[in-house]
Amino acid sequence: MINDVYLYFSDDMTVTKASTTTADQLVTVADGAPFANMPTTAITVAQAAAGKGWLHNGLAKLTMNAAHNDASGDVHLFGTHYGTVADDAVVLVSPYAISYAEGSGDGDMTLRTVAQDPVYGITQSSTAGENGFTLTLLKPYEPDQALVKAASTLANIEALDATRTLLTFTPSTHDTGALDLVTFTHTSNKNHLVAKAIADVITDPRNQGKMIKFADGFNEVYFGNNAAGIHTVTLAIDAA
Amino acid sequence: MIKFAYFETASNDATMVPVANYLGTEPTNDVTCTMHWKKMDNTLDGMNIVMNFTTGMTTEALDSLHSAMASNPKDGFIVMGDDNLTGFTNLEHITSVGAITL
Repeated sequence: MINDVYLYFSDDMTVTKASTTTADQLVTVADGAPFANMPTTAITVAQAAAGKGWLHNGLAKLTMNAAHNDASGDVHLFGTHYGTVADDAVVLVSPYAISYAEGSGDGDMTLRTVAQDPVYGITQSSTAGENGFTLTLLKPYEPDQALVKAASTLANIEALDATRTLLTFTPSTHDTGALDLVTFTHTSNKNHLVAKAIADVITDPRNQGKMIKFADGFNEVYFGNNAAGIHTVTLAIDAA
Repeated sequence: MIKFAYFETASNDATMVPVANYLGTEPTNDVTCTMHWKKMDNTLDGMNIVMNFTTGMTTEALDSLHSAMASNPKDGFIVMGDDNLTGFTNLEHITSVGAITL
């Protein structure tokens, strides 16, 4: 039986993106890292209420940057789910309150008001500037954010300098001249420990026939005890 | 024994490839990832199979696909997805087989 080892890598990218601020229950996030192309799948009000969609499935979370709740005339209103919200508190918006549609160059999330949903709804402030939100990516979902490679396609491990080690793989396109590249930044002069860890993970019979999260930079989880001190992971798929 | 992975779309497009020809997978968006294989004509080129999954379940789908490929059925035949087979149960989080590009 042929058993390969499947190596999982993910980028340690910045995961947050700020929204525009309006006073019409709309939270718009423009395309741009880490959401180079905002999710394509719409979430209807009915789907959100039924616990479906990528927000419920943990792809991302939406937070209000600072609740405005100082008893002035333009406060936010919150459904019972949120309890008593202090002024300036960061509030995680329940996915039950969010419908979504991809726009042109952005993604539009519409919040249910408290009048529409007394439990999960949030009514925005009448002052647009009070309605700042942040969308946080919780899982990689686009090219160059995550990559799984068969260990048998590993061609070379190379020290770029004292703190960077490059893993070169046969490209996923299998094109001549192209390569899949994974670069680790790590503790100085630990290149050999990166190479040894890769060799260990591939040759250990217990790992054969599995997907091993060798360097999950997204979640800052690294294989074994991370003796090399890897702290940055950069992916370049089908690079020249 | 050599292992084979089998894919079939709802539009009767199907392929079986040796698991040893697998190159890698990356996510494409919130509902699809692309599995790459060595080109069947043995040229330096690739073939792609898009796999569709439940929106937002990227890493779970990657886990599911690779667990299936790593399995060891006695006959070496691994059905990764078959959208034409009545009663076939998709791999966890996988919803269908997308485009097969040979």
